[in-house]
Amino acid sequence: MLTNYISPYTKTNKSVYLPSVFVFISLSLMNSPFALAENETKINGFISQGIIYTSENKINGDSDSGSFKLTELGLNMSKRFTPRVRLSGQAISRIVDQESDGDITLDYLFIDYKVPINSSIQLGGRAGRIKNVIGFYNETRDVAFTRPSISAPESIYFDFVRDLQLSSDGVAGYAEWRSISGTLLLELGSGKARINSETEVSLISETVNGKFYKEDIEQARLSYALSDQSWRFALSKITADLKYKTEPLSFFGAGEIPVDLRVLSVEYASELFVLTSEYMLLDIDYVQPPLPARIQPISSWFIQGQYHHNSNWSIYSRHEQLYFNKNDRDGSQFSQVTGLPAHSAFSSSWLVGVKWQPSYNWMLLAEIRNIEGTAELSRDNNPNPFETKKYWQAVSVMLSYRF
Amino acid sequence: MLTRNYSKLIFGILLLSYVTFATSKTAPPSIEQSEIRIVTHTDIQQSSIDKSTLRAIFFMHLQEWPNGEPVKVFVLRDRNKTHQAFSKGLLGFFPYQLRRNWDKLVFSGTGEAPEEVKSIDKMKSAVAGTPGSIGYIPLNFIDENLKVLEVK
Repeated sequence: MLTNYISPYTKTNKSVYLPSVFVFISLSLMNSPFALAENETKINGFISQGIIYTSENKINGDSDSGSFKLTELGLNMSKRFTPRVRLSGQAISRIVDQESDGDITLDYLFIDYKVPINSSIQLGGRAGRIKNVIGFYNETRDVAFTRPSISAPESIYFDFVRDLQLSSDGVAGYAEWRSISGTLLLELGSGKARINSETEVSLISETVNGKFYKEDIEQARLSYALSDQSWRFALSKITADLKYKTEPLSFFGAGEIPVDLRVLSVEYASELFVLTSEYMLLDIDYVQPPLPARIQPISSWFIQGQYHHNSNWSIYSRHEQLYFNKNDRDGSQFSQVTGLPAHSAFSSSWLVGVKWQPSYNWMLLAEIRNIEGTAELSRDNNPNPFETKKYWQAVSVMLSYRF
Repeated sequence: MLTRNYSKLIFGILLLSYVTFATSKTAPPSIEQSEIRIVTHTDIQQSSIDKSTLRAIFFMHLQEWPNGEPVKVFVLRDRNKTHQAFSKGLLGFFPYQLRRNWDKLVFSGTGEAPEEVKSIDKMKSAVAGTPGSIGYIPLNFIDENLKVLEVK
């Protein structure tokens, strides 16, 4: 099954490393001196349902009159063959807007091989559809139980180029070094980006009838955590080299879109309080020979506090900012150039919420968010940018179950 | 603008309430960490373990013993007092940090959560009966069917 899955990729890219990783894994499987005593297949899943009500602007469908388009389902399977070899896969279905209306997608499916070199160093590799390593939340951003609030921070984990951020088809390697003071982890990956129609429309608008033919993605994350996990740091970088061609008579010619995403993450955790902050720079350029276009990077950040009152109750708050161009924070230049409302070039918000987790399996969240600017709104939900309002609010409640 | 100030006010109240709670709430654990011991199946050859290896095992980052034998980790439930005393006292992690890490492993496919047992008696029989296993129990539950690992 796995060979079938990986082989189309190896054929198209003529890479030599994937098959060699595969052979390596097969050998290690056969050489394991210890058989696992029991069936080591684990199955886990989750289902989350939210309701969202917004003033003025729309997210998740017609949220201005209350929307239930906030459904997430996931099922995963993980099998440990030996202590060193694991196969994991997860399928996800989301209903959040017109585009993602319950389609089942393969979130990840990979084989993981890890080997301890000595008592403090461990090396590993993964092959298949692997999760992209971005910040603290990307790998589990669709799982309510792993998020700090109803949604992962919108300023960094937005849906604009969701599939590009989410996972990619390829290989990754990692090295973990433990010392008395802390743990250093380096992850490197290379593969083919996932680009669905929504991401395609976001990158090259629907008027350009283009098709991507090169979707290379490279990723790296360096993380360090103190041994008691009181401080955690991470620096993530993803670069994608996307090339598209257009139909013969279209207005735009073929072109190239280099994408460069960098995230710096910091967290302090004490018994009752967790303080988290992340800063992102997302540079998406458009190169249409002979004219290179350099567009200012999107910059965003958030600061978030979570207070664990006890094991059932916690409260949280977050401030976020996102700017299409940090040198044009009020969007005035953007408005002059594009003719669109200035407030569509930025977003600044405050959020407060409460989380109730009566048991391991159940969780209920409620939150209120006050937003200035509409940079995070999708065109699907708000076709006319001139009808959007600069100041708006969102109230949402989510119930989540996992097993 | 009114609602904008309103949410800032709520944030302020939350911060204030945090400071109040954080300074007033230091309930002592009902079980002393000094009474809890790390135990393994009797087939484990080593007699001691260093703290960073112990943390890596319970964080589910280390899958095998030095001789290559698979590690099998048993824990009590998150809200169990013995678990909380073990987590804070012996590992130096708050229970929510362990859970958050296990959740990430489970839902990103990069690992799994430890096996949960419902009582100290069940922990005892699980560790005694599973080769390569590790767990923790209060001192007075220890017998010859378990091996005690000294934490260095």
